[in-house]
Amino acid sequence: MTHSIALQFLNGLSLAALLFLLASGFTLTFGLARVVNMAHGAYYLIGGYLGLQVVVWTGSFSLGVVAGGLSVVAINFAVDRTLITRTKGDPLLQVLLTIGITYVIAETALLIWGGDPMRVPQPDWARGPVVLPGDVFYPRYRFLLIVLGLAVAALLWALYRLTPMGAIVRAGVDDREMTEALGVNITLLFTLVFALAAFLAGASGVLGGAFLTLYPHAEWDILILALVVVIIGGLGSIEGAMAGSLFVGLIDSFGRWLLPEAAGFMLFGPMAVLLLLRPQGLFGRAH
Amino acid sequence: MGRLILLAAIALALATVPMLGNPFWVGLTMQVLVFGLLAVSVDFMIRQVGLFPLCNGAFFAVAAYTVAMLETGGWPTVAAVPAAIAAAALMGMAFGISVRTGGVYFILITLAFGQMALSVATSWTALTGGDNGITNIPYPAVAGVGPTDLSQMFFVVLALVGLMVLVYARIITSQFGLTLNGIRDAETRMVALGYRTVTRKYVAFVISSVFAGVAGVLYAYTNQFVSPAAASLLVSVEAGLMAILGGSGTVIGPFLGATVIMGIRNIVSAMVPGWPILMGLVFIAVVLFLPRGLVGLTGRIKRARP
Repeated sequence: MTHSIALQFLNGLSLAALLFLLASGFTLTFGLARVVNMAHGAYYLIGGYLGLQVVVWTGSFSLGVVAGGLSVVAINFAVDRTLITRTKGDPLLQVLLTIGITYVIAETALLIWGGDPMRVPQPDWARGPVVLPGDVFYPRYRFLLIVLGLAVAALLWALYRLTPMGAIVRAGVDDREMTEALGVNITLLFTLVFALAAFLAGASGVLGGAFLTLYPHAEWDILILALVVVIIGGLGSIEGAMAGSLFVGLIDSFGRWLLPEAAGFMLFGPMAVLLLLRPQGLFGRAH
Repeated sequence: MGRLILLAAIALALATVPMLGNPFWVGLTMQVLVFGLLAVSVDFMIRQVGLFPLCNGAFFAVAAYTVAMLETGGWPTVAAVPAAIAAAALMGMAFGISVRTGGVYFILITLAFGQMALSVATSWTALTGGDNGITNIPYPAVAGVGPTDLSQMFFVVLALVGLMVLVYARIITSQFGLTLNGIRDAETRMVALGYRTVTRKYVAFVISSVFAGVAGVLYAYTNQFVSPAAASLLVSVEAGLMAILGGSGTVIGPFLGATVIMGIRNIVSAMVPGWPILMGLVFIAVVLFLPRGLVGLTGRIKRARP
């Protein structure tokens, strides 16, 4: 029994790690530029498929992760410059536009890679189990994903809270015009943050594809979870993305285990209650 | 008055569709009417209240599933239909807490709520039949009288959708509808004037859920089959696109939008693989070139202004 609980806990943590990678980009993009990019799910999917292709060609998992991330950086750059800028900050239009982009990307992926679920091959060094204290056997890959998630979270947090660069980003989140007036090249800053967000989304597709598999409609499944993360944590907050991912990852894992029929309710019910008490999310500020 | 004549003319023109004698076109026109009504429910929130809900597909689905379960379980239509609409309204009352937020938050929260309905539809197999759905839903019948074939069903749908459109026009021109516009344009001022703005937005949200529920009831009867596809997020999303594409804020707009989207779904999909790419391009094109919709493009049909 305690073994099962430990396993579900670890499953929840590894899902949380993956969700954090996706949601932190989404939340930063929104916090800084007020851009709602629903195509993040599609970025995850296409990054995963492209990374998978690179892993198959080169045999290197790490190369696949980097390739998945970089290809999405390129896609996002094009999408942002040609399309998203033309919505002029209207959230309704941004949502419709980026959903349209999701349709295009997801269907293109379906035409190329087909409808059967595909799994990104896990690297040799991540195969097999790890033995954790208490004789808990856990898949090495998912364990490493937890470690990676924690590392990226710590790195992002330090970057955001402790470095001059992070201070500028925070200033941009607070007051864009004022930051610009102080001589900060805000366009360059946006481009950098967008690139980081896109890289994380694409890379998370490869990382997630290695244990959740890639399949048609995965773009929506993962997007919904990421959205619940940012709703609970608060839009635009990196700490919120951490708390939200932990919450969603653990609830989803334990929910599927204890009450599979009601897993949806267990996830969305607490979100509704939180909404009643704190409409802006745990770490968010009222907009 | 002019608008009433226009609506009557459109209804008359549609009434000739069954005379063409092709069940495909009759079925497609019914789908346009049903999804057009769903789009009206979304348009109401977008245009009159200034909020963009992404959960109306859930109201649509819960009503459709309720009708499907009760009708196949032997309930009479007179009990199944009110129960289904009540189910949609109850869900609307629960999800209605989302009106405490606004803007992006509202969009994302309603999307997450809507997704909950889908997860129930697919995972609660005993009740919903899971991926297999519920089949063999009979046509509605009141005291043994009801449509027996496709064209008769068509007239039932046409009459009911027409009735809902009239009710809708009545709501948006009512005093309540006007206060909603006030809240949309200057909420702080409405609060200062003493209106309980959140309550009014909440009521509007529940009204929207009822309209979506009626559309769901009609969907179950016309389709005679309900599956998780009816609860898909894409239903909510495409209903929003229909509203914007047609020309948000007009009674006729959502139906124009529904015509285009259902045309892509039912006609283009049979001709080309990868048709969702076209659907995505329609989304993108509407945002870039037609944010005011088809009606805004022609400018000939007057806006449904109170």
